[in-house]
Parts: sequence; structure tokens; C-alpha cells
Amino acid sequence: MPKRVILLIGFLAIAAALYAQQATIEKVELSGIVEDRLSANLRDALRRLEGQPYDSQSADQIAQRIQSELPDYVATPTTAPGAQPNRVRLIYSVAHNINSRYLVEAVELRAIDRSKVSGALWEEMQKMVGHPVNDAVADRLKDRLVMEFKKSDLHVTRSVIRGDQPQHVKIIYQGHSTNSFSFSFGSGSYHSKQKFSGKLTLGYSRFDVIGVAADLMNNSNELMERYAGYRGGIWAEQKRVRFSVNYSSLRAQWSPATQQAAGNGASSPLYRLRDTIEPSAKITISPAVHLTLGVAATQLQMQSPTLHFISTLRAIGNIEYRHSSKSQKNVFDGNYELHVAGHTLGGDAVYTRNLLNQNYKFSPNPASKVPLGATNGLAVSFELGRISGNAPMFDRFSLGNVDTLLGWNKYDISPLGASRMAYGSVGYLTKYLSVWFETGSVWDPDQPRVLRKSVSLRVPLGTALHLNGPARIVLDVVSPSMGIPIRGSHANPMFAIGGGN
Amino acid sequence: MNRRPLVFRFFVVLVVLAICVRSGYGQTLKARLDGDQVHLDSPDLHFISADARQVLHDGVTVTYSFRISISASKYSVPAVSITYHCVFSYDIWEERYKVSRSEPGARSASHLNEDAAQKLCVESLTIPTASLTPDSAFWISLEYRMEDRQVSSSGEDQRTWLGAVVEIFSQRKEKPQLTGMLQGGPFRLSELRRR
Repeated sequence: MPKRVILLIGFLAIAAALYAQQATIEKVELSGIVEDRLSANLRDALRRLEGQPYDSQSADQIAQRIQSELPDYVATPTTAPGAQPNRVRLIYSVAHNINSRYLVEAVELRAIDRSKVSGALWEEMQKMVGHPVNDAVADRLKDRLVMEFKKSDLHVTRSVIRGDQPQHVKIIYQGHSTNSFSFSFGSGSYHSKQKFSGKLTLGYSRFDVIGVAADLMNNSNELMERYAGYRGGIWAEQKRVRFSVNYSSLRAQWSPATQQAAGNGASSPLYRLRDTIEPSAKITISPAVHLTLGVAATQLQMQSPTLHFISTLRAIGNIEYRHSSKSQKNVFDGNYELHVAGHTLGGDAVYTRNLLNQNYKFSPNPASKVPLGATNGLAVSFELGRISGNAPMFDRFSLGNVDTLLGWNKYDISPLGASRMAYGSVGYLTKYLSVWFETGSVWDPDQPRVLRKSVSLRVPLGTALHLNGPARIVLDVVSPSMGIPIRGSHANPMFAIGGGN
Repeated sequence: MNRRPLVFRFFVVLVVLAICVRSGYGQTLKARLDGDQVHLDSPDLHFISADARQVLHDGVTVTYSFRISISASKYSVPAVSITYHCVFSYDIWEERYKVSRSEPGARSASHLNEDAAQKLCVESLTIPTASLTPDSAFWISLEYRMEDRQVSSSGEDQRTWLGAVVEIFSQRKEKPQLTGMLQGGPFRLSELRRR
């Protein structure tokens, strides 16, 4: 009982103090429109507020009246300190943007060197803090920022994002370089039977609409061959279409099992060199649906019975989609790819290759504040492939690498690849471990179908160690995996680093 | 047995289906009478583009201009043209749209999803019956365009041939002229469905 009395007395004391300190409105200001757009009555009502004690309810009522006279605008009252203590300026922000009803919590620069921004401009930017979003002021400051960086090749965009406090926002000025250079290492993996794979990429783009890229690669994971060499390309993008032309020159290396299976006769499908030129156009049908159409001309230097060249010319079509539920908990994506070679297209190989790939991922907590991969989830995928005709080795299917059927070796399953493929996987992902069950089969029409299964475990090192930033990304990429084939005997595990489902 | 023609057909069907699902396909323009105003209706019209949606989700307003043209036949010169502007903004906290028609006249609505915001915008586009002949057939065409945003540039001169090429591409990217058009008719004032 005494506690309640003390609380009541405290509450009354605070209320009395607040009442005594209630600020007086020194001036009423209108931001975003000229005063003449309001009726004379409303202008009078605004003036009458001056000298009155500030009352949020009365201020809101006037805002409602402004909105009723200008129904396409949002009117938001806010206060700023006046010239004298205990006095405030009452500012009505009137704007089309519904976000103008939120107060600016912070103004931030991203990818812009703060030390190169003049003190005066930075000060002007910080003046927006504590006031409702004013698009006109924010855009004017963006233009001043651009002027200050005129010589340094910088393009600036402005955005408004949620603040850390409810009903507050941050204004972000984001810098984009006109010339963009990139250097990356990708597709890196290690398989205990197939060894290392990786790709170095060097890229340059201008305005994000035209660019060149060069890759140096050495890969034993993707195809039946280990290929090594380079690929160079140029691309240009306009609105919904991205045109690209790539040229690659790759040297092939075959495993002993593949060489033995192929033999040395005239029918051996093995080649030494593979040069390809591939023009294509990727069309964005909708943000979630993309269609790629192209042609690829490949020249192969065959190694048996004597060195000679053959060529393949194929038309390539690929359609891919991505769909996520509104909550982002359910994400579906997939693609269908078609290669058609020979006949009217010319070339020495005649075949058709179909590949269908579908993936589904469920994440119960897909919130962006949680690092990617740090939430539990379920992933399901399947692939179906079919080749009719006589496809060259680089287009034949295989299973048993870092990404599929980990625990099996593709050279043991089918050393020459296959023309049919079916594969499925189910994975359960946690912060510390992901567990996958995989099953699949590759076969040729005259061969029996053998369904192989494996279980694999993967530890996302960066996430498991609670790292942040680049260290977490790098360690997650090089995370170790172990795959165990499900078979009657000799279930020897295989190890891998990188890649994964 | 050669299966290529079948596979080709299957792929062509897929491509056609993909093109069909693109926004804007299969849109129709309808009209109804409400008092002395003809209101437009196009339930399938989704004019907010991916670029516009990105701008909106960045908390910035996007303005679409609409020009309604009335003509006696499908291909004749318009007799009447009216231009409206709809301003969209996206509440980054509530994840809802606000749309306001700024001119002529003014009205607005908020707490809408994207479809509702677009629908309301189109429904707010009206044609005064006074500008129509009661017994004559007429066609209505609706052109829409995303207004250019004020774009900052680096101000760099493009002196080289590559620069000129890049300028062509980049200008179009920075100042999108996203347009579309719908046409409906023939309508007669006396036959229009009343609200």
C-alpha cells in the first residue's frame, strides 16, 4: 500500500512539473507547400496557435484540417526548439510522401567518403534529424552532394529506410561509382577424390550497363572432365535485356577411369581442347521470370584415333523463375534448360538435352536482421535430365561430386557420364549443422537404373562460430562437409570443402 | 524416332506461357457511368513497374501521368484529351501504399496494397459526360507513363565513342520512360453500366 501511494505522488509530481514546463508555441511554420494554398480560415487558425501552450491534440486537429483541404497530401506536425527557453516552433510538414509523417532519426552516407563531404553540407544534412522527412530538402542536399563529388565519378541515390526506433526513419545517401571493378574467387571446392576446383573472376562495368569479365578456371566438380583455361566476355544491359558474348578456351583432363571406359578407338568421345563462343540474350519477363536464348559454337580437338577437330553448334534456351511467399518463409525457384544441336544448325553432333531443376526452401524466421544461414530451415530440390542423340562429354550428366550425392564418386558411378539423370535431396539446416539426404541415378537407355543414396553433414563454420562480416562469409564458404554413401558394404566417407547443396 | 519437334513445341509453349504471365498481358479497359462522370476500370492493369516499385520501397514518391483520349473510332484522331497525375508512395513502416490524384482535383487513399492502389488510381480517372455525345459511339484510350525522376549525375563529359555508347545506355537506364497504353470501345453513353 505505501508503495502505491509513493507511485501516485511521484506521478502527480511529474505531471505538475510537465504542466509547469509546457512549452509555448513561438511560431507556426508550413513546410512543403506555400501558405496561400490553405483557406483564409485555416491560415488564421494557424496564426492563432502562436503564443498558445503547445498541445499535441490541437496540433493534430489542425493537421487533419490541412489534409481535408489538401486531400492528396500528408500533413504532420512536429516541434523544434524556439529562440527562447520553454518555447517551440510548431512545424507542419505537408507532402505527398506518406513517409513524411515519420521523424528522421539519422542521416547516413554509404559508399561515400565522409571526410570529403564539406562541413557545411554535413551540417545541413544533420539538420533533417528530428524533423519529418522532407523530400524537397533531401533531394536538394543530394544534388549538393553530387556537386561536391563532381570530379570523383560518383553517382548518388537517396533512400529512406526504417529507423531503429518505431515510427522513425533514416535517410541514406548511397554512392555508386560510375566505373566499377571487381575481383572475386568463386566456385571454390575440394573433394577428397576429385581434388580442387575454383575460378578467379576479374570484372569491370560502367554505369552497370556495359562491362567485361575475364575468368581463370580450373574445375573438376562440374563435368566429367577437369577443365582448365580462361573465359572472357562482354555484356551490355538495357532495361529488360542483357546481351552477352563469351569466349572460352579450355583444356580437358580425364580421369583414368574415364580414359579406360572410353578406349582409344575412333568412337572415343574424349577431347583435349574445347573452345566455345556463346552469344546470348537474357530477357527479364518479370522480376521473377527470366528467359535466356543463345547459340553456342564449340570446337573440340579430339584425341583419338588421331588428333582431329569436330564442331558442335547448339541453340540454348533457359527459363528460370523465383517465387517467395509474402512472409519470405517459403521460397521456390527453378529452371528448365534446353540444348538443341545439329540438323539445320549444322555441326558434327546431333542431340537434344533437357534439364529441369526445382528447389524449395522453408525458413521459419526469414527476418533480414538474422544473418543468412543462421536460422533453421528445410530445403528440398530435384533435378531431371534427359539427352536424346549423341551429346559430347561436356553436356552429359553426372552425379557424385561436391554438390550432388556427396559420398559417391562420379567416376565410379558412370565414368563416361550418362544421358539420363534423376536426383533429389532433402536438407535440414541449423545454425551449427546441416544434414542432407540425397538420392539419384544416372544411366544410359541400355543400362540398368541404380538408385544411389547418401547422407551428408556440413558445418557452416562462420555461423557456428558466431562470426560477423567477411570472416563469417569466407568461413561459411570453406565449410567442411562429409558424405557417407548408403550401401551394403564399403561405406567409406568422402570429405569436401566448399560447394554444397 | 526423332523427338526434336515435340521438344521444340514444348519449349515454345513454355516461352509463350512465360510471355503471357508478364505484367500487362490481357488487360482490358472498361467504362461505367457514375452521375455526370464516366469512370474507367481495368482490373488487370498492373502499371507499377519493377523499377518504380524499387523507388517506392526506397521511401521515395513515384508519379504516373495518365492521358485519356476519346475518339470516334479506334484509329481516329482523339477529339478530347484529359491528363491526370497519380502520386504513389510506400509506407516503409506499415508496408502499405498511398495513392493521390493530384490534378485535376485532388483525392487520396492510404493503407492500400499494390493492386488496390493501382485500381484506385485508375478508377479516379474520369471523363465528364459533357465532353461526350450521348448517342455516338466512342473509343477510350488510356496512356500511362512513369514521370522522370530528378536524376543526379556525375556530370562527366562523354568524349570517347565508348563514352557515347555508355551514355546512350545509361541515360535510358537512369531516366526510364515506362509507358503503356490500353484501349477500349466502342462505348455509347446510353449503354454504359451505371454505378
